[in-house]
Formats: sequence, C-alpha cells, structure tokens
Amino acid sequence: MPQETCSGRSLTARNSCIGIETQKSEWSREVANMKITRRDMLKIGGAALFFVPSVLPAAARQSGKATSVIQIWMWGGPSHLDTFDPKPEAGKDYCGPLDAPIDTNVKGIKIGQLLPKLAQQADKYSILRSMTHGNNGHETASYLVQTGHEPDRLVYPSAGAVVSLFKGSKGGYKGVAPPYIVLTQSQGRFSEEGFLGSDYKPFATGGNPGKEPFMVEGIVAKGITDERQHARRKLLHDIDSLGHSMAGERSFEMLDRTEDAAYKMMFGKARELYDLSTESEVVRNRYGMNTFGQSCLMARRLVEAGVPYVTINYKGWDTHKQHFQAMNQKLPELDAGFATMLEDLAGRGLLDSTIVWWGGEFGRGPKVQWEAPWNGGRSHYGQCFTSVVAGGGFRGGCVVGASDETGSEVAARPITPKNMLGSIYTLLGIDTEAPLPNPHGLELKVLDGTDEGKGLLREIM
Amino acid sequence: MWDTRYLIFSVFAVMLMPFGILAQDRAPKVGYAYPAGGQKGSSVTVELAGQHLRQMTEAHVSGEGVHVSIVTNMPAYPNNLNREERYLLMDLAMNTIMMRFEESGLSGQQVQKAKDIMIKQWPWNALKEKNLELEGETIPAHFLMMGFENKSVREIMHAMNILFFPNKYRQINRQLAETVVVNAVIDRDAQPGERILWLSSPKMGVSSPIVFQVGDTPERSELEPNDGKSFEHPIHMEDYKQYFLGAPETVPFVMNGQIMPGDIDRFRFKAEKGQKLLIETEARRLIPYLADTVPGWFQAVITLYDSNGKELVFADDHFINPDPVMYYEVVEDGEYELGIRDAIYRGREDFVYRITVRDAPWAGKELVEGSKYGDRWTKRAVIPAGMSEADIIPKDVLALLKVDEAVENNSIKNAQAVKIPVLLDGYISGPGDVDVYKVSVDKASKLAVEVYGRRLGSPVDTVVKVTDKNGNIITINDDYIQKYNQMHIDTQGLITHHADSRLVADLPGKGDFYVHVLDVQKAGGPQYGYRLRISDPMPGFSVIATPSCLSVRQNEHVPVILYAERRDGYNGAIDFEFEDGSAFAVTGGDIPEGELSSVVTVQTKEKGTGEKNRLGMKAVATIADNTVSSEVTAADPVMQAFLYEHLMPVDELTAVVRNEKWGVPLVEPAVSQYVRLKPGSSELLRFKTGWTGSHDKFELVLEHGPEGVTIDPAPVLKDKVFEFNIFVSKECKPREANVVISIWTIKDKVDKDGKRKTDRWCSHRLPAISLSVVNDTSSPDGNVVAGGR
Repeated sequence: MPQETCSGRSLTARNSCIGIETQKSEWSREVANMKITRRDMLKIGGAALFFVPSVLPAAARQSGKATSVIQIWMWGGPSHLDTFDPKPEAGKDYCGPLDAPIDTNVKGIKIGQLLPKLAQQADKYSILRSMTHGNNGHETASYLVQTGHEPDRLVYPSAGAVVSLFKGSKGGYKGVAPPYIVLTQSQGRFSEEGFLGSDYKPFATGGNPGKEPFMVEGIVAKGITDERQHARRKLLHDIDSLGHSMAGERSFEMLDRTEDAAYKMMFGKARELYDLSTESEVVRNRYGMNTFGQSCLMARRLVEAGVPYVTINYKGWDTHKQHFQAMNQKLPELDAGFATMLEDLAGRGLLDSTIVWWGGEFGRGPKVQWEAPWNGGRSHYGQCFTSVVAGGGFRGGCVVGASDETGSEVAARPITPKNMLGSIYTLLGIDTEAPLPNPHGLELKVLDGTDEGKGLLREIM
Repeated sequence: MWDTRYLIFSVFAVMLMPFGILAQDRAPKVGYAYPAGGQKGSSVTVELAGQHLRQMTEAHVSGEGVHVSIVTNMPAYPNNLNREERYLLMDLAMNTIMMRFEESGLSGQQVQKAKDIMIKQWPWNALKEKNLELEGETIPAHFLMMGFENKSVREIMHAMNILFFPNKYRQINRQLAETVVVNAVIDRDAQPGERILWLSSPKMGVSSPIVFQVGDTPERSELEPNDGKSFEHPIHMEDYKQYFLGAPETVPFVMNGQIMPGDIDRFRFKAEKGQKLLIETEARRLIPYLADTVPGWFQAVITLYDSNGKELVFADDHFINPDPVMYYEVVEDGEYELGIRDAIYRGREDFVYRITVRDAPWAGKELVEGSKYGDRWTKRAVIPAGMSEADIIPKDVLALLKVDEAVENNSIKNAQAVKIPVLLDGYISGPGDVDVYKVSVDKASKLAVEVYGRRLGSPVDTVVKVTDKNGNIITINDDYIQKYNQMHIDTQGLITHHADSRLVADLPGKGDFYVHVLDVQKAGGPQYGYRLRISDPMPGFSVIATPSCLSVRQNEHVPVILYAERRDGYNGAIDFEFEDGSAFAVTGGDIPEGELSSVVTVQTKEKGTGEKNRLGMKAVATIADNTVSSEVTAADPVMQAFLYEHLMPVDELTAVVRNEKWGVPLVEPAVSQYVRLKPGSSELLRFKTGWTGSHDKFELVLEHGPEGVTIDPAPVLKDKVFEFNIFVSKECKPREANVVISIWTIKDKVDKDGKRKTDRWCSHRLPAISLSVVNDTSSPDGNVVAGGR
C-alpha cells in the first residue's frame, strides 16, 4: 500500500496527521495549511537569525503612558501562597510555617509575612491573584507567560523583544545601552527573540552586579586595561588579511559596524551606566548587597537612561524541596530589592513611566508536599498563580481577581498571560493588533485576542 | 496534678502517635540498595538508604534462598563534617593506610616518608589544625566506616573519596539520609533472578520495596577514585602507587557502583582474543523511577576502551531500554577499560548500577535478530520480574484463534482476510512496512482492534487505522493511554511510552473493512513483532490497588486507592469484596460508572500477628447481565520526573496487622456513611467512637475527596460522637465518589524545659463515606440515605 504520510515526522506533525487537532489559532492553521515541515522550520529558524524587519508600521506605535519595563522574572515559578496570595486559613498543609500574613499600607490587602518592606509599598503595585494558563512545564509555561502565545510551530518573540522592536532604535530609542537587557543571564527555556531574529535578542550582561567590579560581558573584563584592549584591537586589525582583502564587502562592513558599536559600548557612556560604585553605600545597602538587590538598582539606572526593557532574571524559585528554607533565605532578599526599587523609581518620578512586572512562569503547588522525596516542597502550578504589576499607568493598591480558599483555583476574574501582556503593550502604546514583521511573510499580529475572557486589566489601567 | 484518667490517656496517646506519624506521609521509604544484588553462595553487606528507616527492625526478601537480617541502623550522615570529625577521620585513615604499608613489608623509614608526603599533600590537611577539642568527638556512623581498620588502601581511598565528596556537588537529600545495613546470605542453590527487598517494624509498618538481584557471577564493587587509571593513585604518591591501583578484573564479573554528580566510573579488566563479550547494564531496571530528576531515572551510558584509551564501542539506549547493552568481539589479548556515567552527568547515591561482563558467544545473534517481540533486553524495559506474556494478555484474548500474518499484506489490494475474533501474530518487517487485514461484516457493528506489542517488549510503535475499501479512515489510534490525573494505569508499571494502539470502530454497515498496522517511527525488523486482536468488543476490566502492602492496626480504617483498567468500552461500576472467611471488611462505595479510580477503606477488628498475609480482595462487576470478578492486583505508586506517576506491580496485595496489645479506637457511622447531596448543600455527619482522650482538641483532615467537597475544620464531640458538616460546592458536578477523613488530636503541653508544645497526631480515621452528588436528592430520609454498605 502507499507509504503513510505521517510516519517518521516529528511528534506534532504525527499527531496532526492522525486526527488530533493541535492547531488552535487562525494563524497557526494558516501555517499548517502552508505545509511547513520541520525541515522548513529549521530553514526559517536559520533565516530568522539574519532577519531584520526593515519597516515598522507607524500605526503600531501609539503614544502610551509607559516608556520602559522592568520585568522581575522569577525563574522557576514563585509560590503565590508565600508571597502575594497568602491563605492562613487553609492550614499547615497549605501554609507550612508561613501562616501569618501581614497588613500592608493599603487597607484590606495582606501579603506574605516575609515581605514587610513590600507591604509598605503596596500602594504602588497591584496584585493579580488569578493568573492562569494551566500548564505545569517550565518551557511551555515560560513561553506562554513571556509571549502570550500558545506554543506551536513558530517561536514568537518574548515581550522584551516585542518592546525592543517597537521601542528600540526603530522606535526612536537612541540610548547608549541596548534596548533589551537581561540581568544577568538569559532566561533560556526558549529563544526570547523568536522569529524576529538576533537583532532583538536580549543583551545578557553576565557578571554579578553584587560584586566589584560588575563584569558586564564584553564591556568590563577583569585585569584588562583600556590600553591593552585597544592594543589588542589594533593587533587584530593588523593581522586581519582577509578583512583587508575583502574591504567593501557587505558582510564585512556589517562586521565592522558591529565591532564599532561594541567598542562604543566598551569605552563610551554605556560603561559608566554599569558602574554601581557611583551609587552611595546607603542606597546600595537598601537594595541589598546581593545579586538580586544590585540587579534592581542596575535596572533602575538602565530605565533612567532610557532603556525600554530590562529583565532581572531571578533564579532559585523552583523549590521542589526545602521550600520553606529557601523562602526564609530568598524572600527577604526579594523584599529589599523589589521594595527599594519601587520606592526609588517613585522618588525619582520614574514609576509613572516605568512598568514593573513581577512573576514567573507559574506559581507553586498550594498543598505542601511533606512526603519524601520532597520533604516540604512545592510543585509546579499553572492553574492559579500570582503576578504583580506596578507603574507605567497601572494603578497601585489594588488586588485584581481572586483565588479560592486554598489558592488552588481561580475564584474570580481569570487573567491569562494574553490579558496581562496585552495590558502592558497597551500602556506602552504598542498596538496589539498591529502586524508583527516576520521572515515568513505571514500576517501575524503582535498579540491577537488580548480581550479573551475578561480582557485587558482595564480596572487598574 | 495528673489524674488517673489523664495518665491513661497519655499512655494511650503515646501508643497512638506512630499511627499519626504514618498518616502524615511519613511511611518508611527505601531509596536504594547498594549493592543491589549478590552472587549465590555468598554473603553480602547491603546498604539500604532512605527516609523514616530508623525504627526498622526486620528485613525481608522475596522468594527462597536469600536470608536477610539488619546489622545496624544509622542516622542521617551530616552534610558537613566539623573540624574535629574531619581530623579524627583523617587520622584514622592515615594510620590505617600506614598500617597496610607496614604489613606489606615496607621499612619504617619508607612508611614515615609516605606519611610525611600524605600529611603535606592531602588537601584537607586537618592534621595540622590546632585547638581541636577532641574530647567526646567521634566519627559519625557511616556504611563506609564499617570495618574500616580492615580495609585495603584502595578501599580506604574509596571511603575518603565519598565522605569528602565536594560539598558544592553534593545535594541535601533527606530522602536518602538514613541507612539500614543489612546482611544478605544467599544460598548456593538460590534461584538467580530478581527479588524484592523490604524492611518492616511493628511501629512503622512496612517500607517501600527495592530490587535485589541474585546472580551466578562473581561480584565486585567499584572503588573510587576510578575516573580512569591515572586517577587511581594520588599524583604525589607515585612511589607507592602499587598500593593504590586496583587490579584488573577477570571476565566474567559483575561490577556494582554508584554514580555521583559529574562522576565517571572506569574499571579495567583482562580479555582474550576471540572472547565475545556481552556487557549488560542494570540501572533503570534497579530503580525504575526517580521522582526528582529529569529524565526520571539514571540514564546510563557505557564506553569500552582499549589499553591505549582508544574508544572501541559506545552504548546508550538499547532500543526502548534505557539500560545499555554492548557486544564486542575481542581482537587481541590485553587490558580493557569499561566506563559508565550518566548521559547528562547527573549523579547521586541512588544512581546505582550493576554491570555484568561475560563471554557470551550467543549474544551477537540475539542482538541482531532478537526474538519476535524484541529481545531479552527490550523486554526488561517494560516487563517486570515474574511477569510473562500470560500476565499481560488477558486469558479470554489468549483463547482466541491464533493466526500468523501473511507474507504479502501491505495494501488494501492484497490485504489478508481474517475471520473475527482472531489473535494475529505479525511484525513490521522493515521501515515503511504496513500490514493490512480485511474484515468482512454483515451489518453495522462495532469492531475492536488492539495491539500487544510494546507491552510484550517489542520496540514497535504502532498506529492502527480502520478504513473502508477506498482507504477512507473510519477510526485511527496511535497511542492508547489510560490515565487518572498523572497516574498511568497499566499493570506493568515500567512503560513510559504507551505505544500500543487500541480502538473500537463503528462500522457503518455490511461490507469489507481494513485494519492497517504500521510503525509510526518508520522502523521495522525481526524484533518489531506484535499480536493483534481483531474482534467484537470484549468489555472487561482489571483493578490495581495501592499500596501493595497495608500496614494495619486493629479497628483502623486504612485507605486503599483503586485504579481500574477498562477494556473495550466497559464503563460500568466496579465493586469490591473480600474472599469468604476474610477478617477484613471494605467500606466506601465502588469505582463509579465511568470513573478510573476510587478510594475505599479496609478494616479488621481482629488482633494482629505482625505477619504479612495475602488480602484476597476481589473486584466485581456486572457485564451484559453476567457477574464478573477478578482478583485485585497490587502495585506501589512511584513518580517519574516531578510529574508522571506509575504503578509498579507487586506479586500480591498483602496486609500486616500489627501485633499490638491495643488497636486504634473503633469508629463507626452513627447513621450511615452513604450521603446524597445537591450541589451547594451540606449535611451533618455523625460518627461514634469507642474512645477519645480528655481535654483534647480535634481537627478534621479531608484525606481523599472529589473537587468541590469540603468539611468543617473541627468536629464537635458529644457523648463519644463526632459531629461535623460536609459541604458540596455549587460548582460540583453530579458524581459518585468516596470521601476519606481522619481526625487529629491536638494536645498542648509543657515540656521539661518549661516550653509550651503542641502534639498533633492522627487518632481516628473514619470509614470511607460514599458520596453521591445529585441534582435530585429525593429519598425517604432526605439527604442522608440510611443503610449504606
């Protein structure tokens, strides 16, 4: 009999050919109809590396209240019960030892007992207690939360890359630092730039802002003086016979331009930006002399310099084991850094134009796993979790949505990643219905369907 | 001042506390056994590590010919030794090594020189530390410290290597922290194969089981450092290296080992030209699932090197088996080196392996051709010990007419005509092969098609479709999976890719229809066999109970979770009963219609003997007006990689009724344990008990119940009757389910230091409540219907 068409393909392709409907949205059906194979996708992926959208539709850029975003990415998924959605009535099996939430400076709002400083800044942020996407896998959940799109055959750009596209150099940004910066390591899990290509990849600083010097990747290198660096460049040029013989070639010119840009960053004002020693000890201590605290300070400096999107990639929240020990260590660190940053941004008049977005790919299992091997751990939980938004047009001092009595289910006003990202884009003046340039020539939108369910977070915008 | 009643209560409360501890997910668990086997005719010291093992008093092993007894129980080993402990350990190691040097005939001068070098070079150099307060200090007990004074230099280096393993790589693993050392005496005539080893104690009940293998080949245990020959001796001890080097092994041998993070174990052996070496790894087979790693088992890879370090063969998965198998025909006499590691360089104490190296001329043929359903190694990936094809394919299916696949049947045009019901023996002969069978029917009917391939050990990954004569698809299935939440319901437990297809097709009318079988991965070969049932639907079921061994106290209602594997659309209710004469009774309703799981409670009022006995539980259902019953099989739930769960089968469902003077307080429903409620309503439940303590507070814990069902947090106690409300939320959909509730006693007290403390223990567990959430509760008695089971 004729060869079966579904044999030997990727799992997704196989599923689709045996009748399991995997495509969900119109655009993805469009892609499916185009019969893009996995091989094609690899080619497309390769092409995307060099794809630079040349024209941005003017209509896509609207005026918004916000100009910058600081994203505190809680890598691994923070416990909603132990942070911004405490459930003291649920008992020990849900709260463990953290069963005494504290009042905030907003009447009626309580948060976790290990966040006293954030409690005093509650008027500046709003808590989204009914986030949901239902996925418990790091990769898929990260993709869902950071892109707003269901996973399919195209890798959409993360919010940072989208903001970089619309608010970066093509959107008028002329700052000395890259428009999309990650402190300090790339989030991983998926390619943040997606099909937009390498121009929209975040600049991951590397190094540790909590240590002296903050060795920003490619900018500050321990033991290498400026003179030595210039001498190295000269030597490189002297022996670059291929470069000399190919002078005038487009690809080589491009390399030269990239090199010039890199050196401007290394020896120009950008380097000063990363120099935290110019901040007072008092300020630095208030943020916390640790990687996260100093990253918050760094983020404030970057948005002050106009950088449109800064991600603080805050690791260590995937607490399957020893969860409460980890909370005792990490929550005070989070409390100091996050609270001081909010206060500092507000004090400098930057909070009105800076959206601060806190959250991870999901929350953590409301019910504590006391049994071995977890011994007091919390699992992944995408059914119901919490994010926090502040500034840039988001009202503070509010709670949006609610979870049930144990934090297990959404009890009111489900908020999807689409709703939240759509709200952020709207405040930034990015039209979510605007076409999203892509190397495939497909008619893709920035974020279709942001009004799904209860829609944008209009109650706090 | 204590009154008599309070004193009696206190004594009783203390006796009840272990029950509470168990109920709080603190059941004893064995994480690994090392070594995980031994040679028959030998005595082996086995380290069993896990959690809540300290009170274990007895060890057991299944089958005949292996006798196990506990040598000692050890507390958790500290993650960091303090300075004094390190000093004592170093001192002991140093002196013992020097003793070995002296015994070997080295002069006093040579020994002193060696000591000087070691003191100078050993990185931890604790010997020079001053201000040590050694009084009262001892070296913490550890499996590796047993018989330390008699260890060889190499064995001492191994112990030091493990005990001083860099802390930055060592994780805190409380689930592996406690150790029970067991002596296993294996008779000369013990049957080689796989056994189950477990621990027990009157107070804590029965531990989870672990695999223990009996072999007929000499056994060795790895000795670190063994990342390669050059690592075996400290570089500064070049003059003494013969004392540190391991001797090459001689074929055949079994090497036992553990892989730590980033660890590579390499060991040397001598082989002769012409030997046909079969190298078999056991890793995933020993511990099939790890809950807290991805992938969810030790994914071993092995590499064979020649004496120059040149790689000869590398082996990863063997078809569907994650445990690698290697075959190598030796081309010259010499020393060879075999290395094992985790594929992605993970490791931990429970990354336990056994590698067998032997001369097996037959192995080459079997590896190439295998048997029809895979080979012995692919079978090991999916078929648990003691299980055979007869346990996998139900008797009524095995009784069907058996027919071999025709040679040419790869299209509708030359489809093989079969008369149903039939059990076909076929195989996917090569990449792209499709087997097509023609079925003729007289009228519109249902057609059941089921593949037994992967379940039998075949690597085949089928897709089955039923088409009409024009190739139009009527029904198609790739993988058939029965899952309850994340629990895979199958009797084999080892399967992670449920590749066998199964479907019931609605044939529209009289005519010829075609069943197509193909391998979705486009592979094929002599091992890609399958058995294919084509028949009218044969509705049926089997039921798996967990845990496999109940630890029961007199009067106690112990929850048993039941999972139903349903076949060919059988969706009816499945009830339970014990065999005649059983001392046990079951409470709680059946597995309701359409459901895959339920929780019942099991109780005995008889005093226990402490012996493990078969439970004899039967599942009963009515199918097409016939009463059908089958024995409930047993399994233990295990988690794979943080999420998926599997049921690891155990021979039979058993219970240990503890041999105790006192049982637990009897609890019985004052009215009924059958409740009918509308969504958004509640009901007051009453349970009488024979005993409660005085001055106590109580707390209710809902252990099992459907979504939307809640209870009062605390019961009211009146005349030894607990009263509390059960609530059903408005959103709760009509359904049948069992609810299991326990009562915890809370007692505030002042300890000897004057500090206030609260004791909390599970003092009563109620019989399962059979709950019906219905839109109409009309019944003679209102919500509560009298006369539950």
